[in-house]
Amino acid sequence: MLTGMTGVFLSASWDTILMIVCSTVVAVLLGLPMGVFLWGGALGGCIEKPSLHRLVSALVNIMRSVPFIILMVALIPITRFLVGSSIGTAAAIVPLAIGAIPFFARLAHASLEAVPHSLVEACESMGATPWQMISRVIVSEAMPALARGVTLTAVTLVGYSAMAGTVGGGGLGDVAIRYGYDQFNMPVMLVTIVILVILVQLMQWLGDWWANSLDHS
Amino acid sequence: MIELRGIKKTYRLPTGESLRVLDDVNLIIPKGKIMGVIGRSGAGKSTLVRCVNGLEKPDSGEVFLDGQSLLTVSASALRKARSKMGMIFQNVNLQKRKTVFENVAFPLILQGDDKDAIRKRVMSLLDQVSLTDRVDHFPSQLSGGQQQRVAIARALATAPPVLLCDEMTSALDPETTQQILSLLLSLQRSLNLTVLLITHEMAAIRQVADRVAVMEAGQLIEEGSVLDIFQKPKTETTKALVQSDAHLGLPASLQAVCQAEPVESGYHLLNCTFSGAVAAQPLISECTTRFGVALNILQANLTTVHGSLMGKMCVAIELSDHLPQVVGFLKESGLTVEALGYVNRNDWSLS
Ligand SMILES: Nc1ncnc2c1ncn2[C@@H]1O[C@H](COP(=O)(O)OP(=O)(O)OP(=O)(O)O)[C@@H](O)[C@H]1O
Ligand SMILES: [Mg+2]
Repeated sequence: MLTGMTGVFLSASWDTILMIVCSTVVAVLLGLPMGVFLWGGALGGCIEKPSLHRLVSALVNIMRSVPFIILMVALIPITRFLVGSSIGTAAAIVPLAIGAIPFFARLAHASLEAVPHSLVEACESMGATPWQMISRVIVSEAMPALARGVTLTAVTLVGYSAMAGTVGGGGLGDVAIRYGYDQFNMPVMLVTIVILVILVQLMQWLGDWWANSLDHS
Repeated sequence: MIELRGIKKTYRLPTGESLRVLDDVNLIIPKGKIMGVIGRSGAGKSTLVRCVNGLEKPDSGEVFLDGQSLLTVSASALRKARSKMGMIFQNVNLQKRKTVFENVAFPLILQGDDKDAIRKRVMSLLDQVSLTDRVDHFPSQLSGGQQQRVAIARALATAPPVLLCDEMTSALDPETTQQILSLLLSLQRSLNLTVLLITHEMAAIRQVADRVAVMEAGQLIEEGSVLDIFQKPKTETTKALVQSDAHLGLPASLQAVCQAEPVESGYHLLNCTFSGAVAAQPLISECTTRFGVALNILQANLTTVHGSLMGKMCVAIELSDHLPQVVGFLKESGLTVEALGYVNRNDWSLS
């Protein structure tokens, strides 16, 4: 029942990896600045903008509370506008990335908060500007935690990408639904699961290695 | 020179109450001197240093650095003023992910100095704190004392004329404390630094400070030269601090029977403080030969305060008609004499 499926698995795996990598990159690129603002924009923070801070914080919470499957459907018009289609791997990246931005923003926020306040003050007393504080102290010191956040985001996206696959997003989720579920092909289903497990293990292993290599405490 | 004028600071607690932490503090730290500030935990010492470099804004009052008011300046001018004041903390506050070199270089990078200049400066600083063999180590690979030396080098990177130290030795063992204090003193001498040294250890003040201010409940209750404060402490708090440093103080059992009123027969207890040449005079035996009274030394301690000898002793003098003469003689000889009270002969044997 698995004959001739190798090519399908390979290209589906590739699609899944592509979706995860692209959406993780977008989530980090946009989520990190948001996390930094969540950290420093509050009253008394080094770039304090209390009203904007409340707005961003509320926005992040709202986005975090919408179930992914609903977010995906709700974003169809935007996806169409951005990639010209609402099905396929490229189309899946849009909701995946948008869903992951607030997720990573919160993780980044928590990582930055964990940097001791006394270190922030020490650097302040050395005459650091807010920008120097963020780029050379806070983000730098939080790097191991941020790396773990990136890993967690990517691993979480594996699950969501499979969900995206069920509604025409491509990748391993798509294979599992089309062959495994619709055609009752149990071996295909199992192989898909094994591939996903291996993928997650690899990502976690890589992420741990990365974070540990950044950590000097 | 740093001048603090009428500094007041009140914290509003979450419960809605307000807590007065600094209450009209006035202090002048002369150029090139080490000013020690001592007080019990919660006295407001940390809040006071934090007001000096603007980490904390006082509710009212003024801070002057060489005549420039620091509380009214713009953010960028404050940053500039901060590079003239190095600060050292109890919990060192090094960046964990930066090497010793990078940590010390950090204030220079903030200033935008060029690479070669930074390299040279950092290596010379690390040489001064004897850490040239640790350049590429991370803070986690260093001992507490070594970490504090890195922090000292970092605080001095921009060649600030002022150094603010908040409990810099409180987390260190006695021996390392000694090393750090002598390093501080030698750096202060060679660079002519103005130092504000916050501590709760009287021993640290005794060894390095020129002047000392005593804080209690947000107020400066006493200020003067270290020798003066050690010889003639005026307030109870200061007396207690000085006594605990000299490991002096009557045992509780003796204190219980010591009374302010003279007794029929017994002993008069005195605390005597002396310094410098007086230490070399055999005053006790002289009392005996001159007046025929025996002085019994209960406790004694000899230390150096700010480089000169200072001794403290607690003596019991047998009550006799000569008592006023004996005390007078001791005072004339240059001792600071403080009467502790009288103990009945019967009580004496009991205690
Ligand atoms: N941010 C703050 N909010 C409220 N209260 C504060 C704050 N910072 C300090 N305090 C209070 O102010 C008082 C003085 O604190 P401070 O840290 O200046 O004391 P300290 O003399 O340095 O004590 P220690 O020797 O323990 O370091 C304390 O009662 C403390 O609880
Ligand atoms: Mg303190």
